[in-house]
Amino acid sequence: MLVHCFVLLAACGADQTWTAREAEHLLNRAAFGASAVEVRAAVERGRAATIELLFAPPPPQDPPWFERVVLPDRKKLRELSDEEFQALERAARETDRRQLVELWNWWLQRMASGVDPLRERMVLFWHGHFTTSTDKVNRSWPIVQQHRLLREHALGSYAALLRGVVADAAMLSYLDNTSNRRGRPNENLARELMELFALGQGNYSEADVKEAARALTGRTSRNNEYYFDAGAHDAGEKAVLGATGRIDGEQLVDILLAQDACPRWVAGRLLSWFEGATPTVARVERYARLLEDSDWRMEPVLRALFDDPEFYRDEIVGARVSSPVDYLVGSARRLRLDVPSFVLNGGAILLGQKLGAPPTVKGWAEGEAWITTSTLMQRGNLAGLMLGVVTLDQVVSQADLVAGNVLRIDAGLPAQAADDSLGTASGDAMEDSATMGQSSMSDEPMTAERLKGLKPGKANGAAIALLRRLDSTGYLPRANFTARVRAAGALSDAEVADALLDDLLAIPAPADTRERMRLYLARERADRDLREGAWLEDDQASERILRRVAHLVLSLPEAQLH
Amino acid sequence: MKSFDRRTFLAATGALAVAQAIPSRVRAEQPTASGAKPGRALVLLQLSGGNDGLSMVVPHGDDVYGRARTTTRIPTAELHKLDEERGLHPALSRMRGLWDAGAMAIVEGCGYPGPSRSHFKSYDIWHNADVRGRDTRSGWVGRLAEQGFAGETATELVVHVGSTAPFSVHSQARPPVVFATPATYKWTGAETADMESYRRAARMDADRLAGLEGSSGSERALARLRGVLAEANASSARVRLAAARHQPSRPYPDDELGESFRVAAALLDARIGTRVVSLETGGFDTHSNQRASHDRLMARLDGAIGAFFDDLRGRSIERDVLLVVYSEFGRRVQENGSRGTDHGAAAPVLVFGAGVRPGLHGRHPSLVELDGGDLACTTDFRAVYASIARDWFGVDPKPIVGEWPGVALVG
Repeated sequence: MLVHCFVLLAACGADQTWTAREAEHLLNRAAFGASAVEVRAAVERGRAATIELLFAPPPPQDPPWFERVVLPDRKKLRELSDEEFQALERAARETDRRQLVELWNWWLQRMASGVDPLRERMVLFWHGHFTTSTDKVNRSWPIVQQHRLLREHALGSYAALLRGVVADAAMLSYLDNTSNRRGRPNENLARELMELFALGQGNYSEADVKEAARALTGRTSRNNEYYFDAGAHDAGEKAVLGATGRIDGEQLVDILLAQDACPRWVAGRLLSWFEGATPTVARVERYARLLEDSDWRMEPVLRALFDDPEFYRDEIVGARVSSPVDYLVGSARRLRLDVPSFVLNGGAILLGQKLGAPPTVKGWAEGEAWITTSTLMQRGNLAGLMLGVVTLDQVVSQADLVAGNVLRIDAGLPAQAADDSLGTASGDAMEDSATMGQSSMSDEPMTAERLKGLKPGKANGAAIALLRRLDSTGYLPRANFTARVRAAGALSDAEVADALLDDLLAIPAPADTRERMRLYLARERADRDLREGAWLEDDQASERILRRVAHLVLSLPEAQLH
Repeated sequence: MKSFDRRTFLAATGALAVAQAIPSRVRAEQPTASGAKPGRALVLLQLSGGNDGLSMVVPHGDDVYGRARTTTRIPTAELHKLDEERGLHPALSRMRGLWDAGAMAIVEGCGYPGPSRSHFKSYDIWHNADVRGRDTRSGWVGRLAEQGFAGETATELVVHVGSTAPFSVHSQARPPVVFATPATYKWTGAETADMESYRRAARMDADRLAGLEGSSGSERALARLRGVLAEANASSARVRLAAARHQPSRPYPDDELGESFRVAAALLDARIGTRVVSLETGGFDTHSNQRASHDRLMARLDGAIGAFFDDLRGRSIERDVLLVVYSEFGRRVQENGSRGTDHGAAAPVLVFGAGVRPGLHGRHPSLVELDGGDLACTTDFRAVYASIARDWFGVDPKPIVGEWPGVALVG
């Protein structure tokens, strides 16, 4: 966050300001964050041009190729021996698994690259809206197809997306429509179509769900692609939301789109996502009209939002809790580090956002639900891995618990706290004795042997496996914080601390945090007999300390907001 | 309305630390500050997705069951028969052992009036103990912590084991400690000085706290996040030590649910003041080909619960733990034609523990007189919550979920 405000009134519309705070807010929400340099450039470019750039066509780039994995047809299968079939099945599963990992790695790489960031953000929005989970649909081809669908229409027509997902093999399989047949209806897709994709609760009846399920019969998948099985379709009379006739899936989509509740529902979801707060009824209404007027196209609605003074109000700027993807991609961008995509992917899984597998059909619970006592700490660990300040072995190690170590870590505190004018020294002492008191849980000393049983566990297995790749790739972060703070003109400890806080945080750091970082820097420098200001001339001495500062900054509660 | 939470304030002023410095083992044996029965704890397991109650506690004596369920029906001979009417799913053999030992109760037909078939609305209703859904500031466990355990200061008073916490444990004043696995519940700094600096990042000085009222959304969010960090700093080492010290006599199943129950046992066995451990397991939304997948779910459930009670046996907490298992709704009586079942309404709640009043509670809903095709609720789930508060913890249920007499899980 840049604290210096460049106000360029001339470059904007009537009575609209364009401050660094507003520029950064736009880049935080419409893109994935920006470094101080990029924010400064956006301020100079002006509001209209910065918005325009978000919609500019990206430089041409080949999309990744994926193999369409299908098993041979039944007739062929019968000719195979059990061993041959199992070998085929195993090979297909392995290709599926690899392709799915690569799809999410590639997508995260796109987000971090800064090419076409608004599209990536909208694909993420739709991924949470039109949810499908690889925990249920674990074949790669349908998932790749669905991702392409969301990507194609990300800034385009909501109507096209709604039409697309009821003819999408992954969605039909995820919500059991593959077994929704004439005379034997399955309500799952019909219900979620109304509750989550198009209308929202309270805008349909149970009878509408049942009738809509009939309209969707026969929409299934074959060889991992959409297939309409006319024989399974119920062509009889139906009554859905006041419309009657021999309604089929296409007509059902038209009926949903014709409901007043539909544009309101989509507008409400969009506003909540970008603003991180529940929108007022009037605001939902206004954006619902925009959506209707644009014939369901998202681009004009987004342009209006980014130009709306309400989007920059105090209630929401800097108040949105970063999702794991926001945090990891945003941190990589602000650090200006080329972080391997498997670190972003594994990190997001560890923090509770496994791409391709939202926990429920409702997508991810956004906002403060992302932050738990544990994920808050793990976010800092992932920043430490990106910066090369800590290793994965250290992150999963429990060595600090070996008898005596818990005490050692905390024993340093009371003495140190005396220099910290902002810390509550007595509080420190109490807290430490509380931690030490824990040894009363058992009289036996904690041994390294016992700690071996404390493993990352099933819940974190996939994340740790991805992060382990760090060990074999020889990753070294290409950063030079010494050069960066010098380029920013920072010399004194306070200036250096401020420069890093402003560069790496998406919100302005409060005074107490600035003072704590200054004290930390001063102490680390003094411990090594380095002189304030002059110490930056020898980057062999300064770089390691500055990287540790960067790690601390990205571990702060402040770093979880944007 | 206070715009910062009590814990943040306590952490900032050091009052919390004073309370935590009292060795917890001593606390457990003394009358508690809240007046709640000392030492007692609740483990709450949510079966997410809508568990088919009819395939868990099977009404084998009812002809309607056999007719409505053609592909998911479980033959009587395979069941663990409880009586001429009901039997447990074949995979629930260790539960059968707990039933025989008088450590299991079944509350039949649990639900609420005007059932919602939406997973999310129904979660909100169960989590908030209010049929309007989510419209109070705290979930029902959060209110139990605020009202029932007022004065108890353990950071780990309420723990959720999982990556995100359900709304039930939400409370601004008594936020839960949440982690997926203890091993990664830590922050790693390069050097000791970094650890110290990290700990300080949670502090709020009193002037800033006082100035929060009327401040920006960003500042209020930051105050809450600092509160979370204070909790994390206070509990990370304690939770990991508890997990490392706990040595189960027999192994738990090698799956996420088994690991979660192992962590629950470790936390409770450590006697660090934990009153509620919340757990969650998914996969119960069985719209198609239900039989095989539901069989696996039942086996997983039985393995974890069986291991948990084996582990508790002989420990001091054996009689102090109550386990309650629920789902947001049951499933429709009639199958859906995809060899599965769609969203339904009432279903049984299972209760386990050495202190439970064993056997059947409530009344089994009719399979004929249905509520829109679904089992009608015969016991409001809030009566179960009220009994947990009143009979198990000895606290007044009224400010937490309301009076709701009619169910007595213990005594």
